[in-house]
Amino acid sequence: MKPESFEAFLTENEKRIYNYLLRFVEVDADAQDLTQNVFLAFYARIGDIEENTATAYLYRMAHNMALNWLKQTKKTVLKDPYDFRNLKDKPATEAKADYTILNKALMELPPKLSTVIHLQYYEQLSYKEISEKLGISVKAVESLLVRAKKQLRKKILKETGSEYVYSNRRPNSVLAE
Amino acid sequence: MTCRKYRKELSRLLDRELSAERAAELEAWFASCAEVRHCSVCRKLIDEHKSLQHAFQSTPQSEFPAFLHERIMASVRQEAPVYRKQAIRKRWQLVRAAIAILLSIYVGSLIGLRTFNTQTPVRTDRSALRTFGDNGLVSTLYINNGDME
Repeated sequence: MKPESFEAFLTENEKRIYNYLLRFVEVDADAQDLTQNVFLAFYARIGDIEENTATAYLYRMAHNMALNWLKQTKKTVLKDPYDFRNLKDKPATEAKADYTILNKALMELPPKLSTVIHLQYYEQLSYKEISEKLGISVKAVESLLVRAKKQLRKKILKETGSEYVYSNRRPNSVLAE
Repeated sequence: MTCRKYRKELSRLLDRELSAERAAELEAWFASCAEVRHCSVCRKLIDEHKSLQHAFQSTPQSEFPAFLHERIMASVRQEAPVYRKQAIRKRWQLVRAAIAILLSIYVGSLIGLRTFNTQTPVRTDRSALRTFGDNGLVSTLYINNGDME
């Protein structure tokens, strides 16, 4: 990939990588720093990266860097008593919906699988679009998604001990919400 | 067709990746699956799949901070000369490594030739004479060896 095409690549992928990292680190400022580090590391190797697999490479990088970051902060920052993230001063009413289990399950997936899930569910891309982004076939996307969903279901079930069912409604149409 | 075969396409059905015709066929199958065939697995799978889909889709997406793009570009511009130098250094390292390998092969083969390429002829058995007769090659070998009678 040519260094001149970096800015266009950044514009195309910055939002999705930022959101992807935010699921790992949960704090805006950390996700911003990580996004910057990921793109800088990408730029440092830009000459060695193939154009058609650049997005897949970027996601893998983001995944690994986020996991490393989490490992390091676990050792240092979160044990720091002066870390403001550890202060429990927020009233209960401010509590947001908890996506910890889902994000944790996503984090534990191999980078390839979490990437396809992210592109499909959060970015709402079709199988064809994902295949073009990652430089793989549509069949490969389908099989990765099936594997990813299977693993996610297993992890969530293990974590919650129950089925992750949001509704008891039984609509007539399978596709109906 | 059995439920198992249809279930293989369930993921694509729920992700709206099937043609309208095929989707209608599968929908009809799954709609009557529990009542007609007393199958509970399909419904359970559909529910699980939908739960997951819903959980993902209800997760809030964060707004990308506008300043971050410029911040990344600024740091890239700042670091670009360093990376360029690193890339050039890396390329030179590769060239040097290739030259070193070629040189070692050349020197190695020179040493090999000097060491093993002697003029000493190969000794042959006298039985060779009997087998092949007194041809030029065998005679030369024996003559050079000084073994010829």
